[in-house]
Amino acid sequence: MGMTIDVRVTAVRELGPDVRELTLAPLNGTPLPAFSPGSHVVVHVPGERTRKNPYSLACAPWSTDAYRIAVRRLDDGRGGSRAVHERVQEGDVLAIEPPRNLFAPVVGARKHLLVAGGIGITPFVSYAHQLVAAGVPFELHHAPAGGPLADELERLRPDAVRAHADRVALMAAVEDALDAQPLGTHLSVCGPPAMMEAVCAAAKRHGWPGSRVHLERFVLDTGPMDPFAVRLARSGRELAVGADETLLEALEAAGADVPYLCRQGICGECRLDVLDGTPDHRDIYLTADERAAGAAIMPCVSRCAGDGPLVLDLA
Amino acid sequence: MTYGVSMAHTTLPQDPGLELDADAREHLVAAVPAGPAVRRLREQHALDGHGPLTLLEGGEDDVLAALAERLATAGVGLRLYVAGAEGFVRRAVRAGLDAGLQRDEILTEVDATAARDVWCSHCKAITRGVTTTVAPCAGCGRTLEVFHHFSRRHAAYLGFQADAEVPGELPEPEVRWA
Repeated sequence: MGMTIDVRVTAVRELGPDVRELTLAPLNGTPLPAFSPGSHVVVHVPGERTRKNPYSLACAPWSTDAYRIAVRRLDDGRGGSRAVHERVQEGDVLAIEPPRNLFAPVVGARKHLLVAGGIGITPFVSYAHQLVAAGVPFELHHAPAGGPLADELERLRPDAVRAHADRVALMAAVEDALDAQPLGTHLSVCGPPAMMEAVCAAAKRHGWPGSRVHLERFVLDTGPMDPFAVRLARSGRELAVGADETLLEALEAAGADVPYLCRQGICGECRLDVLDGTPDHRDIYLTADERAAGAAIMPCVSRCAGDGPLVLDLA
Repeated sequence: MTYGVSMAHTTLPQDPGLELDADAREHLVAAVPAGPAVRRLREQHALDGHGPLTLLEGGEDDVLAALAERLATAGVGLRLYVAGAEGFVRRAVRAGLDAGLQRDEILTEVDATAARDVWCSHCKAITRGVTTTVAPCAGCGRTLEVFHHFSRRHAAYLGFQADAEVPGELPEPEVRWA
């Protein structure tokens, strides 16, 4: 779906035992699109099967000569990040989709309190560059110390970037920080789900309304990947969704043209109507009522409760 | 009567009333005069509020000055509660927004006169305490029609010359905001 941009991998850098950074430059010298802080690109990762994985752009928003992404290896994922670590080499050509943003900083915030866990620091690279350039105050707390990209951010604004040894130290610092922010501060959080939940709960305890708290969910708790059957009601076709693929990937492999954006259960773009069968909802887009009704599904992350078939209103 | 404005979608000010936000860690109350709404708030605070509750006291101008001073050093976690005359409530909300509060951190109740402050689009003066749909401008004396458009920046409603289309043809004033 949509247009893609071919880019060449011009540098590969290991940022730690399980994080690899790719520098992606345009093939013919045409500048890449500038982007807003917090943007990501969907990378078509080659492999036995092409995976379309979203990665935050970890560079300044005006980096139109090359993008950088940092990919953490997830061995229990669907293989996209593993392929980046095992297959992708300097000189390779990859297809990416143009930048999109589901985590833009709040315009007009007087200050930004940023909290990152592990690889969740990636979107804050573009934030930090933008905020430094615009002269907007910010404070970034991250853990663990010495994690990927932290050195770059510390060089950018040594006084604003604070490393913490582990989750416990990070949460203690966040609790203190939540009590000491001027009116007009917005909190943005990116990290593992449990860490984000802990920060949200702390923010609420310290009197922060939900409208000041912004989350980038880069890893959803996907749950078990059991195979199930799907029937496309309009054509009567039957598909099998394997344990190594999402429903959206299975539909794409079968030639169904399903629109999508984030592929993370956040944006709502790929919503499909369910005519029969019980969805196992794993997105954060549908409302509680919609989940209970079971008449819609976000196929990028959600699956079927049981073997199916899940009957979709598709041809 | 809302001039055909949909109250579900309007950006006109709305004041659902003072209810304690028990999640807040600090409560600041600007109410002139401090009436039943403030008593209710204090009762709720005694039951399940954590964090201090501060009541700013005095006349409207004193309270607005004290409010701006307090908010200049306040931190996230504060809720502002405003009650009183419509014009005062609007000015106190503006002070809150100027200090960096979000609208959902400000709770409002109009429990005194609903008379409006009206900004003249001709001479830019603000006429305080307008109760009628057509009223003279305190700045230039033009007869203004009070329009259902509110400026958060001016903390006032828009007024424009009532007979601008046909000179001399003035609509009948109607008392609407007593």
